[in-house]
Amino acid sequence: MNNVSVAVEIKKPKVILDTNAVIRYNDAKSLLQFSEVAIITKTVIAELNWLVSKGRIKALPHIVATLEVVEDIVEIHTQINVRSKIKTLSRKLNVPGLLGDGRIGTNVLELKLPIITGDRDFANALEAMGAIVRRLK
Amino acid sequence: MMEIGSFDFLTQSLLRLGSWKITRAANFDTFVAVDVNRNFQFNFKASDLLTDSCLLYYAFDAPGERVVLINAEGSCVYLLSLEEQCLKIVTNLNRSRFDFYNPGGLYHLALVQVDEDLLVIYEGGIVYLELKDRLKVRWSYQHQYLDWAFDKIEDGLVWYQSGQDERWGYRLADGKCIQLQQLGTRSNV
Repeated sequence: MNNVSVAVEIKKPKVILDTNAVIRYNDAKSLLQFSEVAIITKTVIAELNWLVSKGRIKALPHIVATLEVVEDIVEIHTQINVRSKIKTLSRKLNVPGLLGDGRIGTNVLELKLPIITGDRDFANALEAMGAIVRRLK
Repeated sequence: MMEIGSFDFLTQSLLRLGSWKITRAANFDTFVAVDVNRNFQFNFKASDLLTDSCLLYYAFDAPGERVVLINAEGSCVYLLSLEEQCLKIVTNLNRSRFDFYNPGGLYHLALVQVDEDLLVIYEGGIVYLELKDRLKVRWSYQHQYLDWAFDKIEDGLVWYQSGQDERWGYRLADGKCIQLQQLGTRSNV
């Protein structure tokens, strides 16, 4: 009888990192649970490139090269809802990162994945919309 | 012994520090401090203590009845002397106003006790505050890079790491920067 080997793909649970969580990856990785894999969306890459162009980070953080980058889910209604919720819950007149938050938040909600973020307004909005949020202190 | 923590004046109403209770008025710029043991109270005004964010970080020096207060997104380090009933600005932090085009959540603040003193570590730099006797800045360092992250305190140095895996330290005694080094190698300190 021949031996038959079966390859089983084990899907590791994924967690989305917000842009600030990539920048503070040393803090963010402590919020990853055993076997979880951190992923980022193309919006995060765009925001990091923006910060590089403005001289706020020297280059893309090394950790980016090791993270899986996923396409953004384009769901305009969810994007609008996320932005609206952030504006509703925030005291700020000018909320930074609203456009990117709408896109990243849509991925969190549509893919039903947890997110790690240090943005309190964003975290509050996503939690209010039913997402699992792990907050950077 | 210092008590370090954070307090959100938007969702919580009463900050307890030893025998003191601090609350804010509805206008967000007047505060009332009450010493419950002595049944004594005073008001202090700080119009920019609670600006965009209502999250305050504090370090309470109980014997001296002094509180270091910093808004999570604010530029001023305040000293509230409960004994002398006054609030003053100790130093300013190198903080940018992040606008619409920037990603959110770029502010970061941590207070770390070092013996009897306090380190203020934030996204734009680091400040060493001496708390003995009169509170003063021993040294400070400012930078523009958001991915320069505090790592640990070891060998009398405050260790930092960048997004490019470079490591370096600031000497606690005088703030001298010990040169950048690659991860995995240790330079002579």
